[in-house]
Amino acid sequence: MSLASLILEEKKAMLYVQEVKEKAQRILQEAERKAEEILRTVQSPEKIHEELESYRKELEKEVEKILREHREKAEMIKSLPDEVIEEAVKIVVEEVLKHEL
Amino acid sequence: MSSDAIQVLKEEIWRRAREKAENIMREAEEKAMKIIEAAEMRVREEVRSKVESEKLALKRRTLGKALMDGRREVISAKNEVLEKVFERAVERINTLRDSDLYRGFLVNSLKRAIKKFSDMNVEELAIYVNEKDLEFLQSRVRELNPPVKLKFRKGDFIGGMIVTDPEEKMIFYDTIEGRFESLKPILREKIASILFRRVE
Repeated sequence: MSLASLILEEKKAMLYVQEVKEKAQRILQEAERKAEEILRTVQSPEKIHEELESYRKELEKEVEKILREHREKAEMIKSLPDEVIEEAVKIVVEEVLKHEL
Repeated sequence: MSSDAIQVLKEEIWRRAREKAENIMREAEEKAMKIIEAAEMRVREEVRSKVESEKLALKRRTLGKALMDGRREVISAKNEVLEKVFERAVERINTLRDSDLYRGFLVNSLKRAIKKFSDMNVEELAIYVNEKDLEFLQSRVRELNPPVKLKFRKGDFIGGMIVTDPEEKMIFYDTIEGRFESLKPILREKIASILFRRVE
């Protein structure tokens, strides 16, 4: 083995590093291309529609909650105990018969 | 230089080259990831700013409608209960015909009718009542000692009375149905506050 073989090895190593640099460059170029592709989606109406559709789904949960709460309240009203209804009936009868029109 | 020394140097050359290559690749991958993440973030931000006003409008519209539908259901339930109360009250009055409360109302109503017609100089009044009330009212006429002749007739209503002069120039209207109709708006509020205070 000689110094010349060392120089040759150094060259091979440099070539290897150069190849890796090129590969890294390609990775970066690919990333730039992907980024541009991603940025183009902002202009697409589908993206906005998609976003609104996903928000609409979120809202549906709130809608369900509101409707459920009101439905429960309506059910509570409809199932008032009979003595409460009777109390009201008594007042109505008395008012109707006693009120000075 | 010995061949061993050269071998050691060669290995060192490759160790450094590999280390450099690894660094280059790691940095490139990190940078690529950052580029993509930045683009995604920018897209999210831009889409968000573009759809924000539409989202707000959608929220107002959707939740507003849900609230309206919900409230309508509650109001409908309240109306159902209130109507039940009024229906039951009408039925109750039918069963109270012999009570002091109802009879007192009839007598007062007749007194008020006679008073109302007192300035008209009429000799006779027609008193329309439910046939179930005829006997009771006729029995009370003497007690009331009216200045006019009272002629009782059968009326097609639940209770109370309609009184007219012979020429029907004036009508005194005091039926149970009429009272219900007149008092319903006031009674609805009063009854609603009693009935629904527990669920508000």
